[in-house]
Amino acid sequence: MRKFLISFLLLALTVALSAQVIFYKPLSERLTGYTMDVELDPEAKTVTGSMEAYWINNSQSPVPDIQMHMYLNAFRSNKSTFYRESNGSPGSSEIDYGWVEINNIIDRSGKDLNGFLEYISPDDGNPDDMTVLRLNLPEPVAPGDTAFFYIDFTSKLPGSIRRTGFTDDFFFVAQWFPKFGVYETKGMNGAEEDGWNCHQFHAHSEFYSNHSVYKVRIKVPEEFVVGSGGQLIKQEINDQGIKVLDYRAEDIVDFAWTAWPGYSEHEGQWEHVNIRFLYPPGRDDQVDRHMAAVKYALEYFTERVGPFPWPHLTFVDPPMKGSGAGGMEYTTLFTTAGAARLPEYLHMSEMVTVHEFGHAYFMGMLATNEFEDPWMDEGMNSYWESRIMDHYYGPGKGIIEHEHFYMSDREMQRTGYVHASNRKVSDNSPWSWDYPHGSYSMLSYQKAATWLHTLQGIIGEETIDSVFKTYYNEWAFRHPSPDDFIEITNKVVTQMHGDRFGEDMQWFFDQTLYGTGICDYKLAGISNYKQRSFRGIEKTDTAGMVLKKDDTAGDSIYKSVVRLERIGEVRLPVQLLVHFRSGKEVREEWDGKARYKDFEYTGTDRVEWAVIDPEYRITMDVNYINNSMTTKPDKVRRKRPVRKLVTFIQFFTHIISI
Amino acid sequence: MKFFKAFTSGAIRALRSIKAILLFWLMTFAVLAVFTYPLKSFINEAMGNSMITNLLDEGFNLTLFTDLGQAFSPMMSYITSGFLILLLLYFFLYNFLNGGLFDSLKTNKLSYKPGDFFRSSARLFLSYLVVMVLVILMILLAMVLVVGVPVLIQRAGGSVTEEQTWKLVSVLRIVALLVLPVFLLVADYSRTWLAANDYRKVFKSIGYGFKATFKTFLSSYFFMLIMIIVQGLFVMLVAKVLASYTPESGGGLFLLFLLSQFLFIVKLFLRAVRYGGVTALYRL
Ligand SMILES: [Zn+2]
Repeated sequence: MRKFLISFLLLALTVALSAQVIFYKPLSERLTGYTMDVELDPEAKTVTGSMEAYWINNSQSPVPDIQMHMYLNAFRSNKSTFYRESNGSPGSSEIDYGWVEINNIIDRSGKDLNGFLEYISPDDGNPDDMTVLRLNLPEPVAPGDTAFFYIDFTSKLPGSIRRTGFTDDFFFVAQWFPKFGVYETKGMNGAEEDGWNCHQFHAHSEFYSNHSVYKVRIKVPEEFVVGSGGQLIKQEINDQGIKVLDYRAEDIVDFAWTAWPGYSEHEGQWEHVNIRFLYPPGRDDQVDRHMAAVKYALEYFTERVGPFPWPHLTFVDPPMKGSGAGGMEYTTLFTTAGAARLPEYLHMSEMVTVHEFGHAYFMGMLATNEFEDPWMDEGMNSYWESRIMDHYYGPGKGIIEHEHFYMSDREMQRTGYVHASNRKVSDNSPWSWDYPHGSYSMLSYQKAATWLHTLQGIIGEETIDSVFKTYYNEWAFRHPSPDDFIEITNKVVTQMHGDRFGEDMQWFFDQTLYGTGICDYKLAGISNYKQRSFRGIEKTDTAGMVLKKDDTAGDSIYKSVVRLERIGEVRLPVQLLVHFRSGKEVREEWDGKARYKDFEYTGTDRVEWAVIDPEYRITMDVNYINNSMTTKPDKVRRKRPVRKLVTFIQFFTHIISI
Repeated sequence: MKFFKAFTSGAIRALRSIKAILLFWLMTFAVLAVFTYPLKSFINEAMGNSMITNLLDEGFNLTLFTDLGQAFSPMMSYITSGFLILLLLYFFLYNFLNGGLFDSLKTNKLSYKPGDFFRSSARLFLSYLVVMVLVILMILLAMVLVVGVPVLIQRAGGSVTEEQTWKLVSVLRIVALLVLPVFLLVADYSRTWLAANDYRKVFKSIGYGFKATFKTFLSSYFFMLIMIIVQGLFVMLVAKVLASYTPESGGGLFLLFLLSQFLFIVKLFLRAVRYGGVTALYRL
């Protein structure tokens, strides 16, 4: 009887456990996994607990060491690589610093590994940086074997929040636990040989990890509201007034969480996705806006790139005091940056929501290496962010849609790049910390987004959507490299367009991703010459030299010339729209390779105006003003804003001079 | 009764000073015309024969603005520095013309002469400048408090929530509006006193400004508050009308010009009613 009961209980337990599984078929290889049991001490600002972690050696050879991120140590001193790169300082009091310490580490057999740990700095050799830990194993991990580790650790959160940390009783707990680097096998992501890819914590980059299963038990005092990247399995309050929350997350690259007694909560649903939104009191008026934005993003990405597989999604608008945690991405958990009473016509905070959600695709599912290829993370994501914003908030009005002035997200990205004085300082190939002269954000976000828009302008929306769908289908839950994306682009473009754009698209990537030149096409001139009939001296047999005038041919025939010039280094195919006086319009194509190109027309009609790239598809063009020319400038259009401006000045100055 | 008298007498005085108001307008218009011409030619030079202005059809396209800025940064600096110069120029000009206007309102005669207008403007210029600058400084100080206090409280963190800060901001905004009439009354009484008495005794006039404000506080205060609200509403209406009117032809453009100048004259008239009302209260 008793035996029966036990087996019944075991069966029930198995059923209960399997009910917690999110995906019956794993989405990724799951080469790493973490089971944690941790407790937040709000007074000491620490998270302490234990962790059971595994790593599978899927290479062909034994691996002698393990490398782990210890990223909270970036806040350990002002000499860390993170602080050296950002010229900041972690604060001045003891409580401001952050660190993570392994208190004990043993392997599956119980063997003590504490003596085998050493900090290394593979990126810059900085002896003061303690963000990468190497465990020199007593015995290597054989191919196909799984290494298990049991780790007790303490994480002290930093006091001036930069992506992670605390203010008072607000906690954003990210990059907080010892976490495996990525063991790359030869050929993967451009790796030349097998080895760990485990970068230090940098000012601009922090993500590259295997997709993992996380089972995390979090304990906090009961008044805290908690949000995490996992699905809440169970929640209870124990006798000591401690809230115990069990989370499970599958196939995500990082697990972060937040705790604050002040959060308000809102729940929503989009198809299969349960959306939970945590926000500070006083911002209730912004909830619908954020929810709409995240649903737009879900819809657009699902249609154009691929499905969002998880049934759960949590996002957070941190309070003012925790704003340092805003605008971060942990796939199934992300943070936006809101403000109470933000005017309806400003979509900045929806933009952050859409952007950070988008990282679930670019870096989350398509788990690129943010350290080495930041443009595949931030650039691609900014490109999609701007498409979504401009799609849902009105073409040309994705960021500002005021009655009298407006700005599109695409144009905001473009403006950031084309007007930067250092726009030619580097291409998009450097690693995140190697971008010179503070060009990292401008080049890896804005320039990359802008040349992706230009690519769309050349190959068309349908084709680029197909490129990204294929990219998703082939690379989601793996680690694609730039070459993988280029290969897919080449494949899809030639499939859909044959050799219309050449043998492949390499010429495009050479000039944009791997090029520093600027693109600028100019409409240099329009001329209409009257074609006169013959007038001149002719030698005749009878009268000698005589003046001859041929009056029969029309004096109303014109030769019109439209002159185009390529000012920039970048050569892209462009379209030209020519408008004649009669209203007739002609579209021309130019491969854009030569330094100039003239288009000539002969007939009774005359060219009135002409525009290069009339739809502004070549977003890389650094100057739109010289793209067009007219022989009949519209004076009213030009004077109108001047009139309004001076009237404004007249009134404004009268108001302020009491 | 004083309160109603301020309005009627202010309006009558303003009507009788119509010549001064028109002179006032003519002078500001002349400065405007001088500024408009180079701005127009700069824009023409920057745009060439480009059709980029088509982007302005639906409103103010910020992209176009930034492209202009990049290609023609001298123009941008011209606009910004030109704007500052114009701001200062106007500031002095308005201050100068206020002298004539106050004098005309004090004289309260349709036959008031342009010569007197300019003579009083010149005579009162310096004293008026001191009054204006001092009162504007007081207003700025009040505004710094309105903006600064919530920011400081928020910065200090601790237990203050965003919600409470926002409530504080709303309260402070109302307080600022309620205090504004006091500052303006001080300025207007001082200037009225200067126009009627020794124009060199600036500080005495300010002292008088405060005294007069609080002596006739209720009627003065509500008169000024209502004038501020009326003028505020009028300016909002002007902004709406001018922003939404986009003429398509040269004729329409001329109409826009006439309309804007007419509205500006109305604005000057409302200001004259305010000055005239205070002048009337001063006489009572
Ligand atoms: Zn991002």
